[in-house]
Amino acid sequence: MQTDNHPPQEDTSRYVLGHKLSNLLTPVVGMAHILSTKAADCGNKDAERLARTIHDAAQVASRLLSLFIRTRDIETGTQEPSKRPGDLSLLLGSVLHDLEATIEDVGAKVDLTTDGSCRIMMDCELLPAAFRYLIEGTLHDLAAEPELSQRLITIQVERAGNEALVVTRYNAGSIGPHRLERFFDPTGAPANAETGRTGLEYSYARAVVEAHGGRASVASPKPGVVLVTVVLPADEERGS
Amino acid sequence: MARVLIVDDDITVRNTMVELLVLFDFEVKPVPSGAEAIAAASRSEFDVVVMDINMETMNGLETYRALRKAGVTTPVVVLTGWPSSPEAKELRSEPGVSLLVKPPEIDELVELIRSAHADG
Repeated sequence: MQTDNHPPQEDTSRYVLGHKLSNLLTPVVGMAHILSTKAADCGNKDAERLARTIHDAAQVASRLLSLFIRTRDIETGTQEPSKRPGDLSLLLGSVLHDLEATIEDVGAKVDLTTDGSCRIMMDCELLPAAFRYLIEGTLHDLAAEPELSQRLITIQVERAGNEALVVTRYNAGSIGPHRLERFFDPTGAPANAETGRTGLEYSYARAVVEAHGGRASVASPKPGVVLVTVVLPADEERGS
Repeated sequence: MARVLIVDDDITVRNTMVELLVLFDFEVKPVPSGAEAIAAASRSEFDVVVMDINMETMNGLETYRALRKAGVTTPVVVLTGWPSSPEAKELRSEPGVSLLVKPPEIDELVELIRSAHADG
């Protein structure tokens, strides 16, 4: 029973669930890895493929669990961003550098344009992860479009008044109004063992952006074109 | 051949880790508690300790501290399903400690063990 003298206890049920489920998933991942290795040694392609599917699905389930907990930590304020001054253009350049291999795999071209230094207060772990998920998502959407002759992503970083804007534009014809409506919704995209996506990446990114005092939105200015906009408060003290 | 001490109170996780790491030609010694880990590490040398945090009798942080107090400087790989717990946060900042979320990426775990072996 809660009394006035005691602050509300933090809800730790998600951690308990995470701990218990991860203990169950660890043997599944491990055993599937062992099975696929042994099946490969025996030349049993079917068994190897099945074991890999189990392995990949368990890994995605694990990532989903982890991302769910991390998102709730941010949404509930359990984890607050530690805000330090940083440059948004440099951050995005670094994220793109980390994603080079994926960009090449997808056959995409990414253009990053900035109008100079754009200083914001940022958490140096959370915000890069959020932008990584956003850009990975666009690459995933592009990869799902086999008909595209050119896979181009343009990312523009600019200062507008006391705000910093990151506008990502890409061509993905299969994203319809229904998907756009639920773009940042945790139920907006399914988990997929084949691609490794949990379907929670965008909602995590939005939670991080909002925890920084910003906002994230998506629109389609014309058919086949998607525009993801992230707005963050600029660092007033240091200017742009 | 790297020698690995596995510390986990969950028998299924422990057995899986043994079967998995043997596959990579590591020599593996599993123990179910922090107390047994300290005893084993005091008796024999290991290249790396792979340890759970949430264990019933002595948690991973307590085990780590006891190992260091006993003069065991072996690198420790901590596996946890609760990476934001206070114990995980504290362990993350300790020297010689790597933290992986359960279930770990197998390649990452194997690489950590190999590099610990190479450094030792």
